[in-house]
Amino acid sequence: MKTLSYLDYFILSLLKDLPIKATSLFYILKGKRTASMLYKALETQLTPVFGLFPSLEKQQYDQAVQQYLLKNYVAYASSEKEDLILTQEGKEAVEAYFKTHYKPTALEHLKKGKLLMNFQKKSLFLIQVFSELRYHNRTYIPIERDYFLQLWVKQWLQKQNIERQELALAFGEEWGQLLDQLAMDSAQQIVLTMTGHTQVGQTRNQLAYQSKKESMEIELQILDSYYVFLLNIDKRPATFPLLYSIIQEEQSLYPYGLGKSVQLTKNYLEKGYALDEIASRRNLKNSTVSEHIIELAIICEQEQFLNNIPTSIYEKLNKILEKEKDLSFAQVKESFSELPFLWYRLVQIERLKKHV
Amino acid sequence: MYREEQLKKLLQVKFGYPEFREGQQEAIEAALNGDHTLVMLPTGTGKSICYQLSGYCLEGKVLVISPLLSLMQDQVEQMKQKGEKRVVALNSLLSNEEKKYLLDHLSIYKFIYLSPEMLQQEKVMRALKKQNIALFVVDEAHCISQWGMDFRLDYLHLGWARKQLGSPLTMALTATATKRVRKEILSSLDLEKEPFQEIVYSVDRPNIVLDVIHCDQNKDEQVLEKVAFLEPPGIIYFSSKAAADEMAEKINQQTSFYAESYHSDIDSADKIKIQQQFIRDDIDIICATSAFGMGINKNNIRYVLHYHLPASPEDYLQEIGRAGRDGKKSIAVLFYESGDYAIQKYFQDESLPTRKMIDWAYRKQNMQLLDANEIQKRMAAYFVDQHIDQQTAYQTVMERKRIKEEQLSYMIQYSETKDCKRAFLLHYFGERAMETTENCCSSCSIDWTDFEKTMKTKEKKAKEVTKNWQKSFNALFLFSYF
Repeated sequence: MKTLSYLDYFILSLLKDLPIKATSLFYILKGKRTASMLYKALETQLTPVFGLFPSLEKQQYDQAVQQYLLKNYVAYASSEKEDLILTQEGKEAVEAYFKTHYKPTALEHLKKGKLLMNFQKKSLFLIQVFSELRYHNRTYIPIERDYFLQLWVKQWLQKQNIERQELALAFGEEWGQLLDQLAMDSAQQIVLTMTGHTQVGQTRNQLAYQSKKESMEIELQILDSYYVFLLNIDKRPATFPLLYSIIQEEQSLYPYGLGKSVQLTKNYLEKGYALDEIASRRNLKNSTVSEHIIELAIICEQEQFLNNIPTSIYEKLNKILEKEKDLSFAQVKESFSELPFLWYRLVQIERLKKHV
Repeated sequence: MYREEQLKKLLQVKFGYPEFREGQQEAIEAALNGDHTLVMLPTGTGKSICYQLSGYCLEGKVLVISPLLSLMQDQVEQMKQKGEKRVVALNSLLSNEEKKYLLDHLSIYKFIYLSPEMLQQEKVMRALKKQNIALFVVDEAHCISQWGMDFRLDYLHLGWARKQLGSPLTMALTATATKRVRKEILSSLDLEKEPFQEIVYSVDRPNIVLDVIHCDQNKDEQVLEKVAFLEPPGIIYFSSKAAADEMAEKINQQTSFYAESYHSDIDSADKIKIQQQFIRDDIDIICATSAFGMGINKNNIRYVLHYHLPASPEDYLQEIGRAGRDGKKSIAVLFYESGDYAIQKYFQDESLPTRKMIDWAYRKQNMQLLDANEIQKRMAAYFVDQHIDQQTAYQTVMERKRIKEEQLSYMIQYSETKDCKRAFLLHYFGERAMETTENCCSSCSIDWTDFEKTMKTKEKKAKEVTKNWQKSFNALFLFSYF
């Protein structure tokens, strides 16, 4: 039997808490952004890893699941052979594995994945720019070829009202403080990925080779460290004013990393438009706008969406679901013939969020 | 009209070179004289200076059509590094908003690099028509030709696009084109009827010694033996990504050198890192597919090895041309084994749609469901979209197949010939070799001591990585306290 990889153990660790269909888990990891998959992620508490592996291949994943079954690390939760759960043997294997391997703890990929990627790109590029500036070197090959990112750096630098050398020092100091809060090993990995006057950043494979780890472990270790950075910057904005400003700007431009169309629906909702008005103005089907609202309710704060549900229905729905939380829409509809799916889903989302 | 001294001064100021290389001044003077030009200069001799310097002398914009995204990005960055800020690339990597922004601001740029498919977009053409185009440049112009090595469907529209833009002064550049390819470039761009100059220099690079090693089920051992012997830096080309990965691994385990693989599966940020590490000599050897090297600005590459047989003499010359750009002796070694033909033939077949695929495409007019790879789908879609009749489509594919077979067959003959390898390659381009010199090729003679690794290299130890992050971090920012 094939030895399991870091990715295998990581996937197994996700099955620890709640049963889930193998296909659903696959699409959550790939980041299939449909309302039903987002709901599934919320339901199974897997929003932190939503879209974490966009290039995961179905065939490779299916083979891996077969391996987990063969090793008796996972089993079907019922005779219908749909939902998978981690077996006791699987739990022990996962626990033993992560005693000697890095286990991410701060991931928040659905809500902050896009923000994190952009923050990482921008700050790594600024590190190069400032490092070269510290050495008074103006001719170097930038690590970022994206014209608009280069333009952003130029504009960002112009906005800062500090002398450039001082700014470089301040930026470096903020980074130094962030790194100081990480474990030695994680800080080392992050610094080695940086490119500046004195070094070219290492690739994931190079880091893996040197530390005798799998490159996936390195990748998740680095990603997780960046999530820790986001948390720390958010907690102490006064300590990290430059990095905080980058995050703030990113958040205002792309709140919650929403897609363009969902973002537009959000704008209309904020202006007070109703679902069908939005659909007709945007030439979309009502069901599409419904999906957008579900996505928004899962990712953002959702009070505003619940406000459209008449109080009596809202309360009745809650009562029914309180008694039996897993009632399907069809079952609930037996008591509410005119109940729109959107309302049912929004109440479910609210209940799940409260529960989590 | 610019005088010779003025051009030299500009060359020094803008590019930092005191003298022109062979062919450059001639090409620039022809353009400044108002003549369209077809410039063929050997690989690594600074073709881009021909249009960049001409551009500086002309009033108006320089439009550069470039076939490869990575090459385009490298060229844009290299111009920026030399201080030119008014340079931009318009290609498929841009989002719609970004493209719109650039098209609205085209007037601020002097050098506009474009991928050929951009010229087929109405918005792009509309924006370009508003500009004063001083020079229309077609880089890697052999892509226009059916007989060229990298025939690109998008390049077929260049003649049309050029006309739409008012037939501006044009410069087409290539390093590897036969007479037939050059003729097709001229007719496609409609340059034949206008005053034009062909500035053609030999494709030969005399400082690159040509070697062919015949293998018999022992290619890995042979390659590793050579790698252990030769002075790096070097590039090893492969037709498969997996083979490139495996060899990099073997080099790292079995020799004192440090290798990295480079191909389309490598993440784009890592690709930049690998390129930069190679440029700084942190990496000794790159094991790559053809994706590597076109825009690489590294003069001291001492060898280029080919693990698999290249598809054509043009490909081979392009790839080995990355060696010895500093003019010093370098070597190109082709490792040949009898089964190599089949591998390359497989790739060739995979790059063209079959008759069945074409039939399907014409019947269903829907490429999404066509059982074919992306390249095959693209070509089939092109025929359908352009309303080319089905018979002509078959013929085009068959002709292309024949050409590819001829080119591959020439490479087999090159590998097997006992005559001078250089003369044989040059013959393909309609050239005659100069008198055989020492250190010419494996059929003539090779002095291997020229390429043996030096004592300094032998003593080179694996790069130590500090375990102390503070030390590396402090060095980046010139800190003393973290």
